[in-house]
Amino acid sequence: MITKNDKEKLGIIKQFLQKNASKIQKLANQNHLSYVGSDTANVKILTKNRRFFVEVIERVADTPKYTPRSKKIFQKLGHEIAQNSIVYGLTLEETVDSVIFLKQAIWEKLQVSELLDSLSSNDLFVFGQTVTSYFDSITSKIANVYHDDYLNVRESISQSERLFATTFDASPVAMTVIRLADQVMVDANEHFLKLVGYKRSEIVGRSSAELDLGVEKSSAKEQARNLKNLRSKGKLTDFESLVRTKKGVIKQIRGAFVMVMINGKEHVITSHIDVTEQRKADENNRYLATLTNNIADAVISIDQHNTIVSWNKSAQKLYGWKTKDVVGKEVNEVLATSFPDNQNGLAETNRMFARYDSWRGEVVQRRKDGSSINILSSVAAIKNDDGEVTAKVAVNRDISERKKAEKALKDSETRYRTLFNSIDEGFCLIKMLYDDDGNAYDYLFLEVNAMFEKVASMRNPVGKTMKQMMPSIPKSWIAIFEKVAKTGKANRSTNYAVSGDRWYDIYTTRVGDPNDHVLALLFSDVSEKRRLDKEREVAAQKIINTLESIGEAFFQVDANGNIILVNEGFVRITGAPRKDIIGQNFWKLFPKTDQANAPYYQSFTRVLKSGKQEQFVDYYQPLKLWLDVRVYPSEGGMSVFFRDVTQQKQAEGEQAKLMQLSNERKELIKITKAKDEFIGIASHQLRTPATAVKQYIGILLSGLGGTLTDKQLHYLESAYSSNERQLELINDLLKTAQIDAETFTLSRTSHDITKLVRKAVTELQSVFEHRQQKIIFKNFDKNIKVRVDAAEMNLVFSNLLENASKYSGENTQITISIIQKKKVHIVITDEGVGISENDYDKIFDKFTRVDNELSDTVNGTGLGLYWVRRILEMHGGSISVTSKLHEGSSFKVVLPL
Amino acid sequence: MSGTISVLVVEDEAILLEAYELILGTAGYTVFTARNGIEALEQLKKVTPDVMLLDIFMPEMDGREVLRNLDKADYPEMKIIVCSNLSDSNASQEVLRNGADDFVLKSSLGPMELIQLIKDKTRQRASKSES
Repeated sequence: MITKNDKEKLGIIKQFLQKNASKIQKLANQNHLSYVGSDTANVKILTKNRRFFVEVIERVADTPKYTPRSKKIFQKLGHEIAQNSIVYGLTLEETVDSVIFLKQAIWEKLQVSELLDSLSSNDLFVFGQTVTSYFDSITSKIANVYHDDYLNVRESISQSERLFATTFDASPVAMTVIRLADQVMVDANEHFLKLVGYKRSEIVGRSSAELDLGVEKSSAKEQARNLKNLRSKGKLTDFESLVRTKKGVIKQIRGAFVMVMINGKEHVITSHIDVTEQRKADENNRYLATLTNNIADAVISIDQHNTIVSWNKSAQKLYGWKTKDVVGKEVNEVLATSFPDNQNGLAETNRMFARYDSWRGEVVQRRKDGSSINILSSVAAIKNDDGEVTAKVAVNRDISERKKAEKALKDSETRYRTLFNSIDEGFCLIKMLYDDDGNAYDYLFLEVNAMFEKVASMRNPVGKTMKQMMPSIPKSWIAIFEKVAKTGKANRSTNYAVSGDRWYDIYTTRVGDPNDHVLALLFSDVSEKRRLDKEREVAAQKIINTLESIGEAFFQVDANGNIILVNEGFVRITGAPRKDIIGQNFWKLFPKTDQANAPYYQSFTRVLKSGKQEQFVDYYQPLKLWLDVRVYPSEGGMSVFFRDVTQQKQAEGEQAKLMQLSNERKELIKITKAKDEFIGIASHQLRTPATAVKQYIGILLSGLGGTLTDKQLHYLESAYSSNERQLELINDLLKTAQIDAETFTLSRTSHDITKLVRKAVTELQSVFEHRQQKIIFKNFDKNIKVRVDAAEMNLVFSNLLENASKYSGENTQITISIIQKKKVHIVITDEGVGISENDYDKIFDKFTRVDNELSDTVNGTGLGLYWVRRILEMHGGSISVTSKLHEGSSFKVVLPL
Repeated sequence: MSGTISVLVVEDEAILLEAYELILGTAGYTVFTARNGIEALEQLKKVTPDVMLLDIFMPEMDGREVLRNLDKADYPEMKIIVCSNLSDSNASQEVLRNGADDFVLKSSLGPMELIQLIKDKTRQRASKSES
């Protein structure tokens, strides 16, 4: 409903608002402060919202029309304002008020400018409504955000409060919470109540002044200094004071104050340990010990007027004053005692002395040469029978060195702190707890670092016992800690915690006074490492088992060249005992200079250089073995497997030889075949010319060529006979060649061997008759069937019989016997010239003719007996001879049946 | 009597062929000649001898091939004498299997032995023709 005209007017308003944004904002602040009061609302904090306020003004100017989208813009602004205000600690009321004052400031400015007067009443109403809606959006969002934040804060406060309460109550230390502003005791724990003897309701809510627990009020100055320290450091430690219990007993307590903010207010948490008894005991012991033993200390006695009465030798040495110089003088004149840690030292000393008749403390005193020395002074009162103090004895010791040491200790304490917090292992200090029988049953966490909480999965264990943190604490842990606490001997152990299923590596060492039973524990979760170790161990064992069981030799060389592992196979092959090898330097055992190592050395160095595996087979001279070697790079060194392949190599060699033989054999067969073919052709070609001669001479001799004279016939007969002899020689040679040829085969059929012998005898009948030789058949079995090649057998018997005839004289007899045993034995015995025993074997060789009395007259090529032997062998039979020179020979043929 | 008996001599060696021709011709036989297996088979198409004297080693076609290519049924009366200087027993056995009537070593035959051999092989034929 805003017209074009109105838009122009609104445009002017917009420009005005933008121009005056900071003035409007300033106005809003002033109004707000005057309303709320400048003492509670911080101007600086309020101006923190300035940039949001300027933006609100600009948005109002930009979006004169109310829409859901513009509503969102202002809600977003509300959210930002709220968040910003929370950060700067503004309350909800303060924030909302400031926004409302901003709205009022806008109207105020517009009214002053009289710009609103130009708007119609309707437009003015609409504009007013729109601006109101925007601010409603802002304020309701602010309220929302504050509410959410309140819930969050309350939740986190209650969480930490619960934690605090638990710790507070469980602590074995006396603790209180005191509101600093009014010194009201807000809370006290059981231990504190026990210490002072009050009930909780009697002290909580009351101020220190009302309670009057303190024995001696600190001066205002001292209090201010303590407060300053407390605020700047956050804590005060080792603060000793005296407290009066409900029953009026004074106790000495030592403790610490820690500053905390509770609900935005400063509070002090105090923790105290009752050291009364300890102190008393300390003092008494020290005093006695001093008197009886420590003559090295300066002993000075003074009377009730503080006049020096005695001054021992050690005092002379310590202060430089001679006894005569100081006796009778006021002690403070001489020593100028001051209390460096305590301005009220003298008063406190007197107070303590009044109560306990003794005092011990550190003071600074002056020597004769004017220098200051730190002194630990123990002063005891000497009383008369009426109980009046008549004198004091001071036993003073130079603790300058100790002071230096303490300072060093403090420095190291700082370092320790730094370490403590930065250490990435869990660290804790625990105090062992013992039952009445002196047996440890639990322990208390005194101090832990952040990592400890993480590693041990414990939150805020300090002040709690282990049983509280982990009810299922393993007994073994307690036992270990108890032992360390007792013996002071540090322990490292890996322990298992059932709860959480974790393994912890714990280093335990005793710290401080053994009687404190305090242990420091370094704690790390080694579950994962342990699991990996275990896996690695199992894997390694597996590998070792495998290496031991393999037949191959194995050794491993590390990055330094040392042999770290050899297996059984290595020992077996090399014969070197493990103890001689393990730990040795490989390159020393295996020098480069040794020529036998050359291929091995080269391969090994290559593998180390390239990181690539290699395999080779080579002869290793020192072992006289062929080795198949595989070299693998491993972790900077190498792993070497090798096996003895000598036999394999030999086998390969033999196989190669066999192969060669086989090839030679093949070649031989080829040659033989060629030879056979040659024989075939040669037999034909050699015979043919001689055959032609034979035919033509034959034609002439037979008269086919006409009539010849007797003389001519005689000549031709000589030629014919010579040609026949040549043919015979050719035949003999070819026969021999055939017999030798691979292709020569027998055609064996069943024959009666006796008939074959008789046939040969018959064929040679004329020869025997010519020499008037008699054939005698002796032991002549009949019908002995043998599978033989008849033609070849005829050759055998003909040869043997012809020889028997040839080499025997006239009128001799040739005996033939044929006996069937397992084999057939055919024996032909003559009464000839005989054969020398040396020649028995020779006669069956090719072209052998032995010398005898007939060899010059008997023709022969020296092939007959060779054929005989070969033919018989081809039949599976054999021939042998026995003879006596000049008496005769006996040839025995044996043939299988 | 001889004039009626014919012999085919198959021989590549001219000098031997001539000798055989001379010997057998003189002995009264009708002699046909061939210098190799092919010629032999050609001759056999024209004439049917009583005896064929067949060499083994010959060019063009050897004696063993002649035996394999010859249909013996066409020449039931013809005697085949393989006459070779090849003394291989395998060769002799092969030719005998393939239809030869006899195998003789060429070098063992003189003129008279040759005539006697032909006479022996043709005795039956001769006596037949005589009767």
